[in-house]
Amino acid sequence: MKAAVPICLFFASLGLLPAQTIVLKNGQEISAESLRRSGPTVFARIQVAGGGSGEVGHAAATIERIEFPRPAALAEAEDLRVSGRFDEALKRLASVIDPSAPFRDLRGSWWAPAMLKKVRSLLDAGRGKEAETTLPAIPKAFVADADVIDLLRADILVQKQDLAEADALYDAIRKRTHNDSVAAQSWVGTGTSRLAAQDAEGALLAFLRVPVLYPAETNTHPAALIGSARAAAALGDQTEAAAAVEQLVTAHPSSVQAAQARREFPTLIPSNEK
Amino acid sequence: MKALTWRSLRAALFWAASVLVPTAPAQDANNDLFALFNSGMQAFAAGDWAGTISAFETVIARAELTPQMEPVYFTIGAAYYNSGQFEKAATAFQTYQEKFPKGAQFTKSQFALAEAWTGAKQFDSARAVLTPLESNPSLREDVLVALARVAELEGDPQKAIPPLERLLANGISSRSAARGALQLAPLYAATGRDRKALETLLLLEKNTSLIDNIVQLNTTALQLGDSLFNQGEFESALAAYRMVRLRPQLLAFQRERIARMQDELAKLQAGLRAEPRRAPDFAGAISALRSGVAESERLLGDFEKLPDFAPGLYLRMGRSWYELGRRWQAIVLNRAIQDDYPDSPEAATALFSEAVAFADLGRLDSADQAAESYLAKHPGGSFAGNASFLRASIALQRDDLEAAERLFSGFLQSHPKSAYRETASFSLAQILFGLGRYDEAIATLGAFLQEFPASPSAEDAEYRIALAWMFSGDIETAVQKLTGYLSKYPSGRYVADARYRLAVCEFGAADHEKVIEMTRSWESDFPGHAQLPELLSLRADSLAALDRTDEALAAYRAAAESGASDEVAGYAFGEATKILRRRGDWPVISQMYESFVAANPESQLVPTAVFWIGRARAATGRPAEAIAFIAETARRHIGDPKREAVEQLLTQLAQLTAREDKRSGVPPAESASRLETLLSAPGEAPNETAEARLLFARGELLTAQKASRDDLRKQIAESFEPPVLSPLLLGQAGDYFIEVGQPDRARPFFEFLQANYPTSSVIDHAYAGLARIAYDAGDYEKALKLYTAGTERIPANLKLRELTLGKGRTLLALGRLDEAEKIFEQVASIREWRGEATAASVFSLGEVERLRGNWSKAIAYYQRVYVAYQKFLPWVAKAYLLSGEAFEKLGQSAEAANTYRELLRNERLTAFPEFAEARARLQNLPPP
Repeated sequence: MKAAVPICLFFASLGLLPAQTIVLKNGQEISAESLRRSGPTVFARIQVAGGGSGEVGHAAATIERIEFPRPAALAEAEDLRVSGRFDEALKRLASVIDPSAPFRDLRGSWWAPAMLKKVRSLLDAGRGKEAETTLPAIPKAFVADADVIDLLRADILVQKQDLAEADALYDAIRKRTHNDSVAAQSWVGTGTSRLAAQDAEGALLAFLRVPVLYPAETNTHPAALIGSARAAAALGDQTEAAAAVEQLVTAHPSSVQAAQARREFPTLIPSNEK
Repeated sequence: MKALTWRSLRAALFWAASVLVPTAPAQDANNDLFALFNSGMQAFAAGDWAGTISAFETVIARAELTPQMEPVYFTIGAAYYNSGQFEKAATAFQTYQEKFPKGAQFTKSQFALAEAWTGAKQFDSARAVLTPLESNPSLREDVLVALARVAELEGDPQKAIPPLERLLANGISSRSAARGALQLAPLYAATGRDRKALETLLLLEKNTSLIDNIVQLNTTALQLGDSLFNQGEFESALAAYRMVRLRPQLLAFQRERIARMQDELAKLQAGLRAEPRRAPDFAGAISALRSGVAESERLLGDFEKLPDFAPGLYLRMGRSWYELGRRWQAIVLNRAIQDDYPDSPEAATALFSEAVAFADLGRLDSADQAAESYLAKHPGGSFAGNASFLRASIALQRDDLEAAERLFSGFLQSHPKSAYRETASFSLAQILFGLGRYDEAIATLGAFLQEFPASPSAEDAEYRIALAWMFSGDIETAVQKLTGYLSKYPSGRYVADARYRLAVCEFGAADHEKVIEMTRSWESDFPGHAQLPELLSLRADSLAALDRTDEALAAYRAAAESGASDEVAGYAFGEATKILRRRGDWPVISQMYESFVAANPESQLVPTAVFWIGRARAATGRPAEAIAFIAETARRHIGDPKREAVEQLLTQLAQLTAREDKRSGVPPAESASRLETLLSAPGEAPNETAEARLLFARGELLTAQKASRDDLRKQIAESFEPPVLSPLLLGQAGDYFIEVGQPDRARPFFEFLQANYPTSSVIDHAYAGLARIAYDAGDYEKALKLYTAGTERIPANLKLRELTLGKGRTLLALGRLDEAEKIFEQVASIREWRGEATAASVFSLGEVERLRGNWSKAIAYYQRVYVAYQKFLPWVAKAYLLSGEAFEKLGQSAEAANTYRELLRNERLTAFPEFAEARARLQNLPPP
């Protein structure tokens, strides 16, 4: 197999991804200033002896992974999503998705994680239909944990009120996952589904699984806590609702759920958190 | 004991190897010594302590004492130590220190000497060596750990605490400190300083990468959690339990650790390949890592064999949450055990704990479901008795007395030695009492007193026995028991009630003078007692019976105005009103109710009072004033569905308005709009409750126009949700949907009425409606429960006839013929119920006999129907047909034919299905 195609053309780096390392299947590592994709070939711009740079092409099939630097926009988008600024989050994500799209099939690409976050942001923004059309564009093979795709699929089903199907999917995910984050999110999904089905007791027990059994999964806690508060309030258990609200506004004060709790449960907000 | 490893000697030996390598032309002796040195070194690297000792003893014996010999003197001590020869190790290290007081390994030899003394159990010597070494920064941490170990080995763990506290004074930043923390936490716990132990573990939790033995952390955290739990420190216990890693996490942690060590090993081996000349240097590290990996793999193997302790941990955490009052969290953990570890021994406990937590939360359905599931899965389980008792208690809490009776009886039979037996026995007796099964209640209470004479409930039991006799109609025995109670418990809890009941008994015996005397004596003995209004009302009844109406009137008014409940006040006012109406004393009626309204503006009786005030004004020739007065009160309460008597006001208002409008020639069409104007607050839109009531009021104007009234009922039923309707309108809406054959739409109205207005005067609508729905759906057990509750446990008014008849029909459907028969006989005998209910009952008595196969008796009942109740055609048609059928069963074809012909002659029956059926049967009769 022809592993590398040395080419001594010099390109401006317009539209290319910045510094990263290509790890070939034979263990060789290539530090590249930038990368571009042309069909089955990945071209790496590398420093050449005596200064200057040139491009070397590698067949995608020979690449084990590419170590792209983690895009800062990904974390920024997550922060924006968590604080309810969905449009801005989607813009940030587009800045990752578009340039990484040519490398989407290669391990180490940030395309799939960014796409998953895009679907999540669309869902949180209540744009379920767009989420539903976007999700199938992400092949399971491109995702480190395929359960995350099913999780989003189940969340979309909840928004569509296909609650029984969603519940079954969440159960199936939990049975096979070893990922605490996925399990915690699936419980939030079950809670949301049960609440939509007017089963406040089932909802409360599902939401509470998260803080009780997944204390380290703090990213999922705000959603679980606002869900707990809503379910407890629906059951008329003001004590439990107040406890959930208090935990939410003290432990996650800047979350979008804390803001929701302040609006939904003004009388349950502890006086020092008002 | 930890071996002195090659790692700690690596630097010294590398140096030794280089100095012993001959640089001049090799001499034989030197070559031999070098070979011996090498063999000793290799033996040490391979863990061959005897080989090391043998080689180095020869080297020491043959070589001169030169600085190059330093590592040999040091290493032989290490080999003695590693082979467990601690005293020889100590001697070797002392020799090293003597020979090389300025040697490179001198400091290390001091620590090694202390370790050797410790191994030889020479603790004072060890401590004497270690203490001054604490000031050496490079040895400080190891020295403090060693000092703690010495104290522990000496059997005085308390002495281990100070060095370990000094070790952790600046936090945990090394493996030694982590080891020290793991050592310190149990020491704190052992001396009751659990909080300090927890703080230490929490500190350690932040530095898990430094922990060598994660299982030890697990064990310590679990033990600490248990200890904190037992001391009632539930929050801290939870914090400790949260530190315990589950089996998969433990395995992952250990595998990760092994992978890290293997990675390091691979790097060393790669280094060795690149620089073979440095073999002696790498050999020690590689050996140490290999043994580390082997030890870690052994531990991993042990971990893999560990049983999964998650269910036990979850159970502990669940209990902690429960004790903290966080029942939902406790349920979450119990559910997790059942979901993830259904076959674990803890699953049964978890299921029962779930039931208890649900019961605490008042989630009775879920609690009962969990308890029932426990009993189904673990009928002989440790909590079977508790679960049975819980189910019975839940039924009682739900006010489902029939179920409670069944469950308590079952519990007492299945668990005769349960600690709950006393409570269950008394509960069962109370339930039987509540069900009106007084004979059984008396027997059960008697048995209870015999079995538990010293029970705190004994007094209650004795008193209830007296009441049961009274309610079962045996007044003589009741008086005897009440008197007995009073002499046994002269200061008892029920003395006032007992004396009141005795007065009631005298009232029953029509000894009114005695009642008056007894109530006066009661009043002086219990001034200000809560039962005073009832007592005054009783006295008033006796005074009224003696025609001492002025005194009776005064007593009724005193009863109503002395803080009586709405029920007693309503009765007393009602009786007083009767007397005053007989006298035509409308001004006093008005004055009486006006002063009541002024004193009790928020009472539920206000609309009733206003009703009478209005009537009084109308009766005294002031109808306009009455209309304005009633309208003003109705307007104030029209939007509040809980004000039950508003409909009464609306009815009265409609009647007065219609009468006035007729008198003054106002067209009926205008009356409705005038009524609406009267009931609407200016500039204020009516809420939904008011809208529904305005429709009701319009209906009350149309008393003579059934179709229009029905249309308004339909509008109310179809346009409003249950929460906005008053009890009466809920009942009417439900009834409407039953009549039009839509039971599913009727149910929410009845259920809302039942759940939200249990003391309403129209609550019987809910029981009758829900029972009818259950009966029509073939759910006879449920129907029977509702009919029984409706006839026995609520104050049924308008629907009592329907409820009683329904109960009889349900018993008939269940094949409980004797009970059904009693009920139909009862209905048929009540004069006030004469009419269709009587026809239905007589027909049903025929059904009872038919089902018994008593054809002649059945025929007699059927004939009574079509002879005496011809007005009620549906029953007449059925009675003819079944009478004919009974004659056929008796083989009396001629009589059967006559009966069918009689039916066919009755033109009013042609539309009934029985008509065609009779014709067919007639044709099929055998020729005479």
